[in-house]
Amino acid sequence: MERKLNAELWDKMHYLFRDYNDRMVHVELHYDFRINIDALKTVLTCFFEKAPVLHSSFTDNHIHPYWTVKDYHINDILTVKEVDESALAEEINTFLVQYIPPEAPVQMKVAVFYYGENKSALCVVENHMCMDGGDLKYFMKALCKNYSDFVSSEISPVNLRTGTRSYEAVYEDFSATERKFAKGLYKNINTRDNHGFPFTPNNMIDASFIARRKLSVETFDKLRAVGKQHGATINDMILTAYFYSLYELANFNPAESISISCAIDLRRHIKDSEGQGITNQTAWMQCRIPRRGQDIFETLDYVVKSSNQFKQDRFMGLHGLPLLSLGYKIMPHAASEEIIKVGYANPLLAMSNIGILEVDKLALEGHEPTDGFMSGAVKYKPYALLSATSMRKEMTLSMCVRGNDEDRRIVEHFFDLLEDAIRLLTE
Amino acid sequence: MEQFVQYINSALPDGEGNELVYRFKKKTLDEMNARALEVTGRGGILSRKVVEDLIISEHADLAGEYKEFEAHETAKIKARRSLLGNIIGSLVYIILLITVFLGVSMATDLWKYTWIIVVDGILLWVVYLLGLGIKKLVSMKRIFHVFARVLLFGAVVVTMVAVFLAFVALTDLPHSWLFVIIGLILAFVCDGLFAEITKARLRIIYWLIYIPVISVFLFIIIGALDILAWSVAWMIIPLSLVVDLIIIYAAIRRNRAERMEVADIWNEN
Repeated sequence: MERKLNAELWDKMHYLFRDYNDRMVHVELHYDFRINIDALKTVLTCFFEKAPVLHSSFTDNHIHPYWTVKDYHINDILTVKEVDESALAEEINTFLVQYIPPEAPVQMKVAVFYYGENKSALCVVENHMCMDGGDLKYFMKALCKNYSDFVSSEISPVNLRTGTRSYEAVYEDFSATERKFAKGLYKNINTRDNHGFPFTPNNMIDASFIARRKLSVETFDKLRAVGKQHGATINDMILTAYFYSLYELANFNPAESISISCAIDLRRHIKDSEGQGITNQTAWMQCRIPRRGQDIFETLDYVVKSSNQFKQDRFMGLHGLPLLSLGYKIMPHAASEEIIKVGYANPLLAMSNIGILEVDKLALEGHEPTDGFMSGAVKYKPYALLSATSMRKEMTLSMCVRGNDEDRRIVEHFFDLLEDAIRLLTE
Repeated sequence: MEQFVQYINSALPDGEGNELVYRFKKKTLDEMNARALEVTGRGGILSRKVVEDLIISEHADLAGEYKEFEAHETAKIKARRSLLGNIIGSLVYIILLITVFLGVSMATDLWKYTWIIVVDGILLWVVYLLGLGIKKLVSMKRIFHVFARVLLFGAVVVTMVAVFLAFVALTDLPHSWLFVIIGLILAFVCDGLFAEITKARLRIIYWLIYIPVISVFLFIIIGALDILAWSVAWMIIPLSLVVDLIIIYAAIRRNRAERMEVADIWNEN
């Protein structure tokens, strides 16, 4: 008999996002040794068995969507290739920008590219409906630890968290009063903002690409130091640079108010993640600045003020969740999707700070990754998402876009402006 | 397979002679062996030990699984007995009902009154069946509660129809039809209480709708019974809207107090 899994609220929401992005999350890690493929196959198979949603096919049932667990072979998941170093970037890019349909039997693809002298690149693409960046980071760390333990001590790689994928886990550690209150937050706090990234109009020949820019260790340190002086986090600093450069890039009137939505990891509300399966627990906070400001430090003040407003909220990110849940519960799926689309304003401008990629936890057989990054989904124009990850204090900013060469140039120019803004902040 | 047998035996009591324990152990072993074949077929795991460890990790709480199995099996037996009991009980009840009806009718020759024994008897049997349906639906997921509420509404109305028919058949009281209106009021009240007891979401909204509806029915009853003149009794309808406003105000106040309580705890922390 076919095994079916419940489609959780965030699964359905990310499915709804199909009009805005390709829902793929990307990871790229480089190692200075040859990854043991047999060991990796063992770990991946164990993990797929522990998390059946990864080998399930999504059914868009009009009444009640669900996942159906599917059979698979390890070769459906893992690709191994020897590549020439000169062709590596192209191979990685081709792999990373692939699209896995939700109806496919597997929702994650992994590739190992061997290149140079005993070097490997480990690339992962997965459907955001299964898990977000937060859990993908956990998944990668667990994969690396299980792989290393298996290779060194033959410990079976079965240590992956399993359990509920429900959005309601965010309420579990609240007191009864808090829970009651949080479950009554029906207000939709996101407002529409028509300020968008200045991409070219949609074209049928548009193709997905990932543009990235690295910031040096020195820049990271300076950002942190300056941020400390202004009571700002690294996230606030990058967001400030994002705002500041956007005004210039898109020729927005400096007196206009614009907003950028930032991803919030709702796991901040979960004290103990035991018993939680891999899932999505991400919401948005809409940071708004009233105007650009005379200089970048005024912009920074606005950003800090805006993000502090969110941080002071006990229920940060939980507003509107009960409304979404109610929408999905009281109506058939097809109807609730239409209603939610009317009320939901997908942010035109967004940022996701995925955070630090801890090299010690991503080490395979004691080999720490030499380089790497993670990024969110490929956004469809006019939507834009800036992803940020850091490794050994080296920050990688990336933007995944379905666009053309002109769009790529615009994104590269945006990165230039962003770097200029960061320079202004850190001078 | 050896590994699985060892694990199952170590996690569960021997249970020699216990049919249920044996069946569970056999079922689990069969499932584990089938899973081992399935996982091996994925082509990713070369080590037999890893396959076994993986499958054993999927049954980390075998004692808990057994308890669930035992509860499920017991529930199945209970459900079978309950179904059989209800079928036999219903047949006995209907035979008894007809016997009583015929007995009383023949003995008294009051056929124009005794029909109520059959009609009300059957209506009450319907109410009992609706009650069984409600009980079953309440034990299911919250999504099915809406059907339980529909059945509850029906059960209350059918009960009051039975009362109404009894009064029509046995008394000459005027306004017996008011029992149907009272039945509707009770149905709405019961539905509101059901929402309260089961802690349905946004249950306050049900009351905000039901109170004006009930007030209209009360207006009809009060007017029809001449408790108040129609020209005065209508005041009950706007009054119900005032009650709604009071409920909204109280809810807002309560929410505000809770919000402040949460904010205080948050600020203290």
